[in-house]
Amino acid sequence: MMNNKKSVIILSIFFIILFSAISAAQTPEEWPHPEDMEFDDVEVTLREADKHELENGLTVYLIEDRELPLVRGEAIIDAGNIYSPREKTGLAEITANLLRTGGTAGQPPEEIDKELEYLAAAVEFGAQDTMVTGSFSSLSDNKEEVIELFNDILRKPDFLPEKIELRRGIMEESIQRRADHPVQLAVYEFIKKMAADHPVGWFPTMESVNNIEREDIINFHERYYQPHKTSLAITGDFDADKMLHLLEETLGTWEPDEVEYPELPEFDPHPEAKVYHVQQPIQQSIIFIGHPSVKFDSTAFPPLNIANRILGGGDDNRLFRELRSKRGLAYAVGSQLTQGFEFPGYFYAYIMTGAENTGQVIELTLSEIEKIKQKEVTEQELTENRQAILNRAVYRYTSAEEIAFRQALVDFLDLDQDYYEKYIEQIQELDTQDIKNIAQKKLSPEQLIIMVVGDQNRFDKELNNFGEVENIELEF
Amino acid sequence: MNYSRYFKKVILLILILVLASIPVRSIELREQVSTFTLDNGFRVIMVEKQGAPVIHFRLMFDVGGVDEPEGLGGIAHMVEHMAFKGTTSVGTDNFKREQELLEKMDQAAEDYFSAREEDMDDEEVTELKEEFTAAQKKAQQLADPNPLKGIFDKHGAEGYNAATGYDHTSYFLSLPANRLELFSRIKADVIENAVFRYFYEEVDVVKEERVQRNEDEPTGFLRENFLQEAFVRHFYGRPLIGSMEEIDNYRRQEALDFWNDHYHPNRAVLVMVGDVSPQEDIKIIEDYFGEISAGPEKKTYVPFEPLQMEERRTRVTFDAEPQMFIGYHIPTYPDQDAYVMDVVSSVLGTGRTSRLYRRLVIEEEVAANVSTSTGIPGYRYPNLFTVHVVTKGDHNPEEVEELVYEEIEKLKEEKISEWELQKVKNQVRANYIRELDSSSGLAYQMAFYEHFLDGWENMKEYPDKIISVTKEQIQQIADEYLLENNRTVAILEKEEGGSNDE
Repeated sequence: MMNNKKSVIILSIFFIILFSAISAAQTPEEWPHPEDMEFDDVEVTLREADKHELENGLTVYLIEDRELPLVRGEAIIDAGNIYSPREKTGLAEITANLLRTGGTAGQPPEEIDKELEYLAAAVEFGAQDTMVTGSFSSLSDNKEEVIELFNDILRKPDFLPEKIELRRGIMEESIQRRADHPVQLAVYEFIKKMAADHPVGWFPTMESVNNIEREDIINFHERYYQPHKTSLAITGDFDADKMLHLLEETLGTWEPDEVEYPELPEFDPHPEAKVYHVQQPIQQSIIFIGHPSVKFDSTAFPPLNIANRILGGGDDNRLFRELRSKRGLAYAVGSQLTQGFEFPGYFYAYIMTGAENTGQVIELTLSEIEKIKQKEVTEQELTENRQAILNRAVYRYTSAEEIAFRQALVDFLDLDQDYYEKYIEQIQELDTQDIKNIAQKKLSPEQLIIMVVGDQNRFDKELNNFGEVENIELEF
Repeated sequence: MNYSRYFKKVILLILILVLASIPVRSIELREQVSTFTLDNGFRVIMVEKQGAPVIHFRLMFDVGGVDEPEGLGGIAHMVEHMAFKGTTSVGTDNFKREQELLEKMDQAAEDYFSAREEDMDDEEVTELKEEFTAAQKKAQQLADPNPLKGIFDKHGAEGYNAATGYDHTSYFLSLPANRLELFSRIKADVIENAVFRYFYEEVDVVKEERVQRNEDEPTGFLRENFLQEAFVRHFYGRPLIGSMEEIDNYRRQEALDFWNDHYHPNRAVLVMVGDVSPQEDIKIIEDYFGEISAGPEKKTYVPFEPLQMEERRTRVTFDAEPQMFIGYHIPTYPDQDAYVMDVVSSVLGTGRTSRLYRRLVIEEEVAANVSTSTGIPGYRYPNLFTVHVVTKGDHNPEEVEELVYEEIEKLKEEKISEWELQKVKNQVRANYIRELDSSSGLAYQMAFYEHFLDGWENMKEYPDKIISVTKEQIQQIADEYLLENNRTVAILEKEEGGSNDE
């Protein structure tokens, strides 16, 4: 592999002298041991955005922050992927994208691109499962122009047919390339199985993308993009009164319409437990093991979050120690408990390991999950993870942008205003027994979905040791 | 306090007032920057930034992949992993005993490795391997495999990680502002008293990392091949993570030697951005970082890349859809040409109005994406201007390649428009301001400039350098560097039958 190398001058004498000097060195005795170092809690000045509701129901969150000559905005709109009909999965995504790229109020997209890029500004829209986010960023001198453009882009899209085709082609290309990146492929297949046919687990296919017509995009936009279903957080270098005035004159003229939402199927929290395998001629196996879990505002979330941190989600966790540090089986290993706001979140472990370790790694992971159910975590594990959460609270106030956006999100998701305080309160009260109880209740080995993307010719154990195996034929 | 004894002096306390020449309006940055140099050469840059009581830390050494001795490719990255394994005082209760066990393990490793190399009979190799494994297990018993992460985590660290490049190595994290002493206590100890425990276990981790990044992943695989082709002598052509063979043959002692040879306080810059109190903070830093000893300024000899005389091409097959890198050798900062190339790169590849994006993605629809860069593989030495293309549909890379060259030729034939030039300049200025907004971005830039571009203050010159670029310079630079004989092309394509051929 290494070609054309030339010798490097190595002053080996330094090696010897230095090394002997340093191997004798030791930590100065007067230095405290890091485990014994204690610090006061830091005091945080709480900042809040000013909330205003425009007459059309659009909610605005403003924080003046004059440190740099920048203005940023982020809108949340209730027009996410879950409203795409199944046979047209991708509709929400293509709609959001075309706002920015499909022409605006008679102006071709090339003109919009030029105008924004000349101002070194940006406007972008993207769809997620349960929302669309639209952002803008501008130097403060150009904020009026950029906000006016943002308003036009959001409300007066032309959805030019040739631009729809362009985007369709790019989406198809990314679908075709899904199998190129093994981790991406594993995530895609795993989420599909965990969501068990619920819209949050639908992904665009060649067929569904092909089914989308211009009419669908126009209708989707008209139906779901509504001022009273939109929250907008703006932070940066502006005068709040003037900003509010500007917003009233632009987004404030947006007429609301009643929205009829499609009926969504129930989210099945107990999809079929199974082992799924995708055969790929690669060296590593990408392994995901998990099942749907609880919603973020459930009282089960805080203790489960601690259990997950100890298992594989914290910076210092059991899976990392056992599989990576002690056994060298993986570079990427851990577990996650996602925050499910409108639907339950997911609990899962992930490991990328040499195909020849596949069986061993699945066994070790299952046994760590079992262990956290059967045996109380140590007092030290609990304390460290509790402290980690409490000490991290300070980052919630590092940027005005985050503060304002979070406030917008809390309202959009209809969370309790004091959801975070309640969460922290619960975290403070937990004991080791609570962690064990919740692990017993909410980590369910008999419901685990195991997804393996890898080359079965190299596996150390047959996958049917871990349950019924279904081979997935890739189909996009 | 040994403060006065070691501590030289506060060198600067500066209020940055930058960019007065900006046309729109002058931008005042209210960050306060204080810089210090300890007697052992350790440099500290503190930036006061409003917001919450947190500090973002970046500790950058001017040591990276290019500093590796022959045969030890990737050792800089390896020791970066090992710097998370603790010290003589953190990670074990009995270092003396652990040290003995580690030395025994080293011996067992040596016996096993030489048997493996000498092709001894299998039985003997297996036996030595078992002995080695047993010695590893013994050493494990006295040591914590992951001693630092838990401590930082408990104290609210965020983003505790490290990155190794060809040019430099950085350790970074954010902490609540009053945890500065914890940071100093641990990091100073690691520089001076690192213990490379769980070394061979970590070698296996790095092997997995290599597969994940560069062998099973098409873009990483192509990039590695591309760089090897583009640089025939300069170390930028070596795989940053090392070849599998090299990684598999690392010895603990070699890694320690590399650490002890390079990672000294005088080779480091610490940048702190956030809620700093310079006068008090420096005392704490002095108490710990001031206590460790300077090492020699041992700089590595890195060979020059000879002038490229003809185009180089490489093709790799992979079970993935096609993509392509095109690279041209170019100078690096502070050469004025490097700034002109930044403008060229932006004209060609930044944003939807850039020439390549318009041509390949929007007009001809032959690519799903195209991007350009002037930062590959690093900036310390003359590097590459690169174009990365992800093709679309049935369009093959060669077809797209021709269009890229047409756009490059246009740069030579016609001056770019006033509008295009001004657009790029506006963007550079805005991006510079956005960078200042991000603690981690700012810390990175300051550390880089401090190490390699003669001081962090020079960072402020960047927008002016760009603003001074002329249309004529762009034409000249394209004529000088964007030439067929200065070009390397690497293409990844699907093998017939679709299996992964490596």
